[in-house]
Amino acid sequence: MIKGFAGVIARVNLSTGEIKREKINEEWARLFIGGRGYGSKIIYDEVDPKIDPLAPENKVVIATGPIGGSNAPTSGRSMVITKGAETGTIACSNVGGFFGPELKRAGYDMVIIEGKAEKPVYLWINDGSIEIRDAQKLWGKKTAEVEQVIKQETDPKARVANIGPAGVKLSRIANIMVDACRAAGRSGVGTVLGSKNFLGIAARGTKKVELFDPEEAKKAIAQARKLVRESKITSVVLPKLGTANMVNVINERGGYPVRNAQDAYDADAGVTGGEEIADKILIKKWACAACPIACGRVTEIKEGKYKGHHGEGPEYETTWALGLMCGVHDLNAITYAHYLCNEYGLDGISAGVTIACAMELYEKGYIPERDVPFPMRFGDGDAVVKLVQIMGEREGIVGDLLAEGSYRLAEHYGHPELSMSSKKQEIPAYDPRAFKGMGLNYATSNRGACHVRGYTIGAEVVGWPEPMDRLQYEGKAALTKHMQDFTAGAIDSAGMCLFTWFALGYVSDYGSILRAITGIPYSDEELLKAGERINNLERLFNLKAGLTKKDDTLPLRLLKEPIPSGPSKGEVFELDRMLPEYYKLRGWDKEGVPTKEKLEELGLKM
Amino acid sequence: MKVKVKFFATFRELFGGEAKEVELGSGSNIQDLLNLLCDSRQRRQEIFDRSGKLRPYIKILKNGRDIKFLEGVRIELEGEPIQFLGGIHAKLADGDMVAIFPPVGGG
Repeated sequence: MIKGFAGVIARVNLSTGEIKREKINEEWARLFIGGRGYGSKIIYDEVDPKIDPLAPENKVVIATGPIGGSNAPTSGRSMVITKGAETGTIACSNVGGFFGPELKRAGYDMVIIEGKAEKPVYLWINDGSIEIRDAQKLWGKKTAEVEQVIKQETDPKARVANIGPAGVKLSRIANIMVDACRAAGRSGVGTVLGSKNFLGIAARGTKKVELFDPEEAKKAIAQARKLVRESKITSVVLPKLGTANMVNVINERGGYPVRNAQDAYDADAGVTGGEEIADKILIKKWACAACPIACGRVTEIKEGKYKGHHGEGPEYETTWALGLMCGVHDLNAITYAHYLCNEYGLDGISAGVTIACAMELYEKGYIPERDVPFPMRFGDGDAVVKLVQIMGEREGIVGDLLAEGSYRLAEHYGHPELSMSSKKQEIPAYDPRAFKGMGLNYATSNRGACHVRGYTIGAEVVGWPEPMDRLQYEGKAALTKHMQDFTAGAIDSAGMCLFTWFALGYVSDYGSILRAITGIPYSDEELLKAGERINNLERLFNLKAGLTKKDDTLPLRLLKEPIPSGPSKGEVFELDRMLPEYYKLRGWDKEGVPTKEKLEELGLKM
Repeated sequence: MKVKVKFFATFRELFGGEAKEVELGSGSNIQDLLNLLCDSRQRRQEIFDRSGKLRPYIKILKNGRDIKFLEGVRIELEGEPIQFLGGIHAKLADGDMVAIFPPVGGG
């Protein structure tokens, strides 16, 4: 019997109220590890890719990995896998906090949510027992209030993952909040929970997970912790300045999208960066379970009209999306807008990029005056705050459309090209014109535009583990594939945080922990192969859902409009210089369909 | 000639500010600039290793491009021109913008 797993999956059918307990499939654990991989296998086998993601037939898997709940650094992660409400693709959204390890200590590696409850409910998992509880009085309340009341109703020590008003109102960019401050943010995973009348899960547990070789695990974990301590990124910069240390780093390279990516540099971007956050609003840093890095920011707004509000954030992505992407330099307004996203349960990246899209549509006169609640101009931080509010409430015509995400908003007004998205998911804070590998990753990511599925910025900016010129095309297809497979196999499915990679860097660093914990003798090659298998499985789901090569692309602006100013002036993104090579390296045909040989090699079936 | 130097993250503390304008002789390169900036033992230790080499994790941009990938020394070998990547030998010109970062990542 393999170790490291609690060994049990809970299957909860909300339509019937039936709760089943299923054993972890050992063969699947070998092939798909856990977390993202194992969860994707469940969705691939059980969900018809063609269904409406908001139909009761869709399912949601909330999954930990085998490393989760151990003392390995950052092993507090969990993954939510479903058919995404925003993208219609297979979706997986990763989250930290303390929920994952608690679920495991409560006796379950994963929970599968299926069907649809007649009335709003939440799940209370308490040391093995599972109870479906009434949630009507909490339905539509803000996320922090939900978390607090659920703890009162269950156990003050419970850990809670829940949706907020955005998920309840079926905003397509709704997230799931964990501990009221960390988000499974992307692809509309919270929307799917809302469609099931499902508010969330509280977990509390005291069980211990058995490790295969505790001595060996101790050694491997100690080594990983040593590497995290020795890396200046994980031991100095991230704790000191948070993820927003990257604002200046990316802006100085001219790859920081500004005003809906009409530009990619702003001389004053630094006023929204990690240095300013540390100087002006930081109260203390915050760490997820078993995390020695502590990149989280506990902040308080100390001046201006939002003075006195406090919360968590902003992060690199949200200080950008709610900031310069909307032309906003006001850190207080950005921070308050970030708090609001957390409270409503909105994905901060998609919310900001959707507002930027609305601002461009408005400034170009594409939104009729009768629809517009107030002027929506680039640079107006107060407008961003108000737009997050009407988005969260689905208030008025524009508020209702904002809640649908940028693609549906822009399409409604006849200009889908102004949505900065791929597969309908909004781009993150790296302009593909300035980072060619990241652009290819956005275009090919199975959950739509995403930076963390294949973080080429490691090589293109950080120089880790080996530097590559950010503007070169050569070698980027291989880099993108490698990072996508590495992340899927060794990190997302094992149950660790991507940020460990700045210290660990090599597959073998993860393999040694996984081997000692599970007893499965994963070689480095097998872990990368597992990652490749997971990426191909996700691809197959998307192809069956009706996506084609045409969806592996980026907005026209990023392909055709040269960056007008800054250090990357003149750059466009030439997808055709990399995509054919990427397909070839993946063992896919010219249409991006995995070949029979590749599927056989990976043990997959179409 | 004059170049503008910007410091980020923990280097703001090390160099006592966010930016400086530095006067250099014509033909100067990044090495010359760093020699001038590192006027204390602490600054030298943070930027260079014991053998005097630029610490590999320090990122220096000239006008937004990593100096690792910029043109550096050009020599001729048996009549054939050979171009080396710049690194610390990347040439500077009047008005150049140089950005210096400690190890950074995340986001």
